[in-house]
Amino acid sequence: MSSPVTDTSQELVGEYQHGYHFPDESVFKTRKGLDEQIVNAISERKGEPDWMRQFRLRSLAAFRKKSMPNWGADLSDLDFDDLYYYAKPTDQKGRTWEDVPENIKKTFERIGIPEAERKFLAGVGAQYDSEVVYHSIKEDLAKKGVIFTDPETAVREHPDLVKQYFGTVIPYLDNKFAALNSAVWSGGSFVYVPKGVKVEVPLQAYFRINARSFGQFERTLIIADEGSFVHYIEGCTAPVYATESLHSAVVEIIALPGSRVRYTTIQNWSNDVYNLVTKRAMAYKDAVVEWVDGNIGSKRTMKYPSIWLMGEGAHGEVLSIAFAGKGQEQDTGGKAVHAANHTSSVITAKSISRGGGIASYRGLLKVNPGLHDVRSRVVCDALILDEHSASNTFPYMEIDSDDVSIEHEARVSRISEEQLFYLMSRGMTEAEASLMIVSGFLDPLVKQLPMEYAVELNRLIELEMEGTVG
Amino acid sequence: MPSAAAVSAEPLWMRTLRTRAREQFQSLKWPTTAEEEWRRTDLSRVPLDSFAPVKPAAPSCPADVERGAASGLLRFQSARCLESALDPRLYEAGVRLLPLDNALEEFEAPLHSLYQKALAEIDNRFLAWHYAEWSHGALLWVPAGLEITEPFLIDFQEDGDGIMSAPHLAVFLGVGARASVVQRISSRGGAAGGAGLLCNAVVDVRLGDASALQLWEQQELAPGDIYIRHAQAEVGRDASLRHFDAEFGSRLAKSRVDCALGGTGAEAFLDGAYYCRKGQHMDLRTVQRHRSPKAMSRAVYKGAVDGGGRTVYQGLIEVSPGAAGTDAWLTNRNLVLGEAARADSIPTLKIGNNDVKCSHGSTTGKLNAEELFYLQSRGLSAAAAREMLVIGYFEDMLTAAPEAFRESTLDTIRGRLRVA
Repeated sequence: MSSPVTDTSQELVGEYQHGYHFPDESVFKTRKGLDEQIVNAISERKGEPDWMRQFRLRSLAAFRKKSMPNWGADLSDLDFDDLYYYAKPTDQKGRTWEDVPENIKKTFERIGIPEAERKFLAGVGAQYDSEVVYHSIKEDLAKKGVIFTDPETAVREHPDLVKQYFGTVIPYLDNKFAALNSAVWSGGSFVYVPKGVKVEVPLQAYFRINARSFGQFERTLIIADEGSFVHYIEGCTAPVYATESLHSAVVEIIALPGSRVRYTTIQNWSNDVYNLVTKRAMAYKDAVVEWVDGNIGSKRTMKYPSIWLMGEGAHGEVLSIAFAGKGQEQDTGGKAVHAANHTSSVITAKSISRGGGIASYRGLLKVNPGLHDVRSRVVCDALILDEHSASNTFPYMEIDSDDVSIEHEARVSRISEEQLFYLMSRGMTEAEASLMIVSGFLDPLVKQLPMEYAVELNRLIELEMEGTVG
Repeated sequence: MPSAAAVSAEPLWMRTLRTRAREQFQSLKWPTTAEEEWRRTDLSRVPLDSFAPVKPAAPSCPADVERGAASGLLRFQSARCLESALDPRLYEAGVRLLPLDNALEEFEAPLHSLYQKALAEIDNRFLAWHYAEWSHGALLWVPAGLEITEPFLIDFQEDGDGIMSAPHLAVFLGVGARASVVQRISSRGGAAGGAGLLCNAVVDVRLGDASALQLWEQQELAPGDIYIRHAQAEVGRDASLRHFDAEFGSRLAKSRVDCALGGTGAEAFLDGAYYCRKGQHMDLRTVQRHRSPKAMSRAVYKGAVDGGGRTVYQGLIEVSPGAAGTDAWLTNRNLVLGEAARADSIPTLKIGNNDVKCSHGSTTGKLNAEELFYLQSRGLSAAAAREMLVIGYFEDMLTAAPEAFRESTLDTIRGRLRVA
């Protein structure tokens, strides 16, 4: 079915570093394309209750009706009929690391998940193709009542929680890609943190696409009950294929009163993946939601993590980093919707474009009518590293109240010659100096990442920067 | 349709251009909220097809009226030129300030090329409608090297109900010329409950190398009218445009100022002040189009919104790949003065090149409570303190304006604050 990477595909995707994969051993796979039959097959395969099957079918109808966005990244090459919508990798779920199939383990090792992470991180939901194959929850977390599982299990074992929250933050009618995900979702994470519980170590899931032309549609739902805290980390890296792959996830977060949720993503799909993701959080009274969103890979990304500030005292933050290299279009940003008094939000975006890449910031700041004491600040910084690359900024601000303080700034520039000259006069090569300036530019955001991610991100930026000078 | 007499009096080239524009009008549809530029201005409930184009009046223009301190003056009422005046020394030097229909023969070449280019770039039905049906207008021609201090005054009073009037202003500055123009568009308003007037105005500006134009526009249409305005400027090498747009009137205003910096070292200042009252909808757009290296542009739009008013500002800085050394920024500030006021701010950047310095900023907020308190503690009434702060907010944009323009703009704002 698949063959080792050839020289041709290497050329097609440039210098992508994680371009290896193992033979595809998917056990069950639907045919290409999407219709009721496929959706029913997915639902049946998962042994879902009828309400979820009906939800999928309603979503499919919505997907057909919704039009493609007439803005954002260029999606004209995307062919919905030329994709597989479901594949189930292995029959059994691994309980411990030893139980995970050898070839999947090897793939993870090649990506470089540090040994330390496997040992110390609380729960690892490692996703191979579209289903969770490996899952463990540290005992003390389980004792505290934290649920960290895949959404299929949640549908089976916690149907009440799922029914109460699933699709409430991002309804299936929200947009075309959310509708698509709602119809064919598979895998992802389900997290429930009970009242007052603070999860001190980040929860992580690694995602991986490994079948040719195979779309991946994770569905993540995080519910932080009153006064709880959780940090969820999602990292992606995918092997190389010449045909386009589609990744269209939906992530819903419910931060109940007084809770805090931080969601960190480092997205590094290979340069042939369409990454069209809907992420949204509801922050209730005195809750805090933070999105840290790094986008390095993919061919086209459209992703705008959103926070709806629903209760008094709620606070939202979005930190967005985008790196657009050759052939890439990163259309990213953040949204904050203020729906209650005494709410505040901060959106900080930094982007770098080089080698003909296009980095666009797109964001929304909305203040609903009749609100008081609303504060928001949106700052975008962009660096363009060569004359072939482009950077766009589209911040939308819709202010419907008078007692507000809204600030927005954006700057686009290149690496200043004075800075380069100064560093080179201190003995650095131009490449070293450029890298140092770029690292410094991103530093405020990289600092927000857990250490191992900061290391990974810095390494990736270094790789991306290779050959930018001269 | 224009009256047969007026159109047949036009030279063939203009009739041909009108026909072409009419074809474009037929093939285009009215803008809908599906288009980004019109997303926040919904015209679906405006019966656009019911507005009949106003008939161009037979040219009759008593010349040599008192022009005051101005270099020249043109005054229109309902598509008819009422007054025209020009400093005789400027006339001697080759300056022309003419009703557009009187200028078609003498200025065939520049007008023809300007209109041809405009038709090629039409991107919405209102523009096509304007070029097909323009009813009256003014042409200002300043030959190379002439520097004129006193402003030219152009006054369009657009009265009517259920009609579409299409005033046009065309300004040509020769190499190294300098001039200043004040344009005022107003209306008295029709009967209550009428359809109002649809004023579909266009301003075309062509600036030769090293020339400098100041263009001060003020819009005070009656509260029942609709205002659609496209200003299009091309700024040549080392030339400079200072455009100021004061928007007060109409129930629905959709205005666009699109400035192309087409020559190396060109500069443009696109500034605007708007005051939006209850029931008004204002959607203003500026485009700073950097097509040449080392050009500089600035846009500063400041608005005040009363309760129940709705404003949209959409700014764009677009930098072409070849426009190295671009220096551009834009700023939008909104002052919300009442409950249920809505101010949308969309300052965007599209940058296709790395040798740039581009930025934008936007703030939205209400009057500073501490400043209000301080002024009141010095004995000012709450209303006087509020007026002082709002006037101060707008006043610093008008320091370079001709005095009469500055005063009338600030007077309009004062009048609104006193009523509110």
